[in-house]
Amino acid sequence: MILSYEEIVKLIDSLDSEARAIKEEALRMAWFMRGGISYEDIMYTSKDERVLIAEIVENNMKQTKESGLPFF
Amino acid sequence: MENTINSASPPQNPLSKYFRQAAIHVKLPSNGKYWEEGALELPITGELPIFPMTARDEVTLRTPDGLLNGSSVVEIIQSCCPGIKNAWKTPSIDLDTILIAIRIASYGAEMDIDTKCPHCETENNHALNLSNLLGTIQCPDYSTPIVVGELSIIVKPQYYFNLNKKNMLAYEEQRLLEAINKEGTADELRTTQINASMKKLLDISIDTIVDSTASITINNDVTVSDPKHIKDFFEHANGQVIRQIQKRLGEINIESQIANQKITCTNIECQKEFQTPVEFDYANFFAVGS
Repeated sequence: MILSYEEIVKLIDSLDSEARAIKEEALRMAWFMRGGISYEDIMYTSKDERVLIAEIVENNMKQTKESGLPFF
Repeated sequence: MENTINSASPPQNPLSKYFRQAAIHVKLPSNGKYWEEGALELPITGELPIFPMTARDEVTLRTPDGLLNGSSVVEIIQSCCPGIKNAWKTPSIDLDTILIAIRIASYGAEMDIDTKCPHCETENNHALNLSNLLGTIQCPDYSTPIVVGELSIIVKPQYYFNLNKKNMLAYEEQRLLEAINKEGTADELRTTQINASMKKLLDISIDTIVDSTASITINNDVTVSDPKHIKDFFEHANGQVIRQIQKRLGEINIESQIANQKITCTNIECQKEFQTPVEFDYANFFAVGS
């Protein structure tokens, strides 16, 4: 695969933003798990496991909203 | 109370229940042959356990410098295949199998491929089953010697380290050649620079042959396997020897390639079958991130 200079710059930018998105997702999960799992632990999980964590987070948020408890 | 391990039972790491689990087990085309001693530890089943990539691995895979110098691929392989102790010493014939297995363990066996029908030009999108593909990868024949007069030459696959180093050098030289041709350099200076670049590319080609040579036997008697002696020989060998080895290496390369896939055009008016090569580039292989 031979890329031009402009294509290389574009690829590097897209890799940077993808890496940032992965870290941001992990930080969000750690925040919404309320101490249930640390950022470091999330970085060592597989994609399937992160999908499961996301489902737990979604479920927790739904239950909190339904209970009428303060949500932040 | 502290958890202790009974000295009578075999030693077991108390943290073992927190370890990641293997998603698949894969048989390497080399069956563990051609690996440097200590670089691979295969279980008794002969199948290598493959773990899914972690979020950390996915970030590693998005580090441009690491991708360029090969260290990202090495880190991913060693993280997902604990049996591989030194991924730089992975024989080239096992590389595709390992990377495909990591892809399957991380994102599942289906991979989307885009093709264009040669009959009606329709853009097609198909799901390729990577598990089926894994079964088609075979180890090429390295056992038949190349006979050149009194010499009998046995070839072997290169290590990922050598392959990557040469690819990087070739890439740099090609970029340099492009730059020389574009710039308004004086003719004499340009000729000197082009000659120097061509010499380096020739050296890379000789290094490929040296790294791919296991041994040279003279008259079924003396066997030479010292890389220094082999390199010295190839630097002074005639073109016929070099061409014969390059021809055989080319054949081996074709033997180890992933077979073309048969695709049926999705256009209802066409529905003709055509063959398409399976190419793994960064975008379709690992980009299915989190």
